[in-house]
Amino acid sequence: MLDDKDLDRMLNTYRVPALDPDVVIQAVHNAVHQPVPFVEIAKLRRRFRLAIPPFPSFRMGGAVAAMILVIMPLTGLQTQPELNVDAVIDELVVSQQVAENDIRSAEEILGLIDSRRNSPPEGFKNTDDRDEEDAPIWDTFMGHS
Amino acid sequence: MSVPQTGNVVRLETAPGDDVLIARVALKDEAAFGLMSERYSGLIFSIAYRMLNNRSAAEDMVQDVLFKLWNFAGDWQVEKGASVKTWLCRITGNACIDGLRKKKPLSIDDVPEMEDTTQNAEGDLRTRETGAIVGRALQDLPERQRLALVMFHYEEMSVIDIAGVLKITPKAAEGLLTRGRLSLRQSLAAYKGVL
Repeated sequence: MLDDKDLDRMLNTYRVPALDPDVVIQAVHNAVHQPVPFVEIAKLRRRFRLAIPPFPSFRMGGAVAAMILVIMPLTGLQTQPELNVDAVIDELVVSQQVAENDIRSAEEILGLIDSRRNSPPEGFKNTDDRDEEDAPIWDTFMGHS
Repeated sequence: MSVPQTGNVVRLETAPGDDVLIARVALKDEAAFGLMSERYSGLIFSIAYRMLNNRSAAEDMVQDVLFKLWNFAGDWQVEKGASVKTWLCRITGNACIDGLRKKKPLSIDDVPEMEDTTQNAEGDLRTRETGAIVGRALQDLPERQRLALVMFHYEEMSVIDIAGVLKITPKAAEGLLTRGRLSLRQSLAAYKGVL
């Protein structure tokens, strides 16, 4: 069995990575302004992190969630068979309901999603793997409805 | 006369205390909320990371706890004698335990994220591997033992403060720490001499 000194040495090897300042900035922004229901953002952020391996970060996941919740109801995009990326960006800017950083993130995300739409990367969670509850919003976002 | 240095000292000495800040947060003062977020986000992240052993989940937890701070800061005032730090640690700990109990058996979030290794020497690789082993051993502890150990060892909190977070007696907190350390000494025995 380890003695106390050995245990302390081993415990000290378990280090925490640096916290991304963007996480705090977005947390403060979302808490104060609550542009969309927080619970919905958190739920979607987790859902998209699971569903979109290329976009695992907190900031991008949050931006996607905010964009979908704020923009899609305004534009009626949920009924469009093919997602118009430019239209979404326009609506994002016009709506001014999300932070500037979120808009930039959303542009990056949409561009990447658009370029990857027909060539999912390795490990991509395809439609057969998804939870049934994820299907409608995912299909809309990816233009598969 | 060194104005910048004097200015820094004055600013640090006059930085509002937690009691003042949280009272202002309860009144929806965004600047006070920003200061508190800066002050405590690292602590929240550190506890959450070691409780959940996952960076993304710990980042989510920072947002969850700060959201609760913004919305429920007024509740803290009714807890006489408890520090803001204790209150935030309790919220973080409870949220982590709730999250662990709701956790699905397997998800992509369970896969540890790879850290950038390009700037690390080979010797550091062994340290990180050992750290990963310790992280897994901590995950095998009962939740409250794990939380007590994380607060005691990594956050250097006193037994009394830990008891306050867990709402137990100091003696019970000592018991959690003793049992947790004993379990770790047994489970990590095979790695003795690794470092």
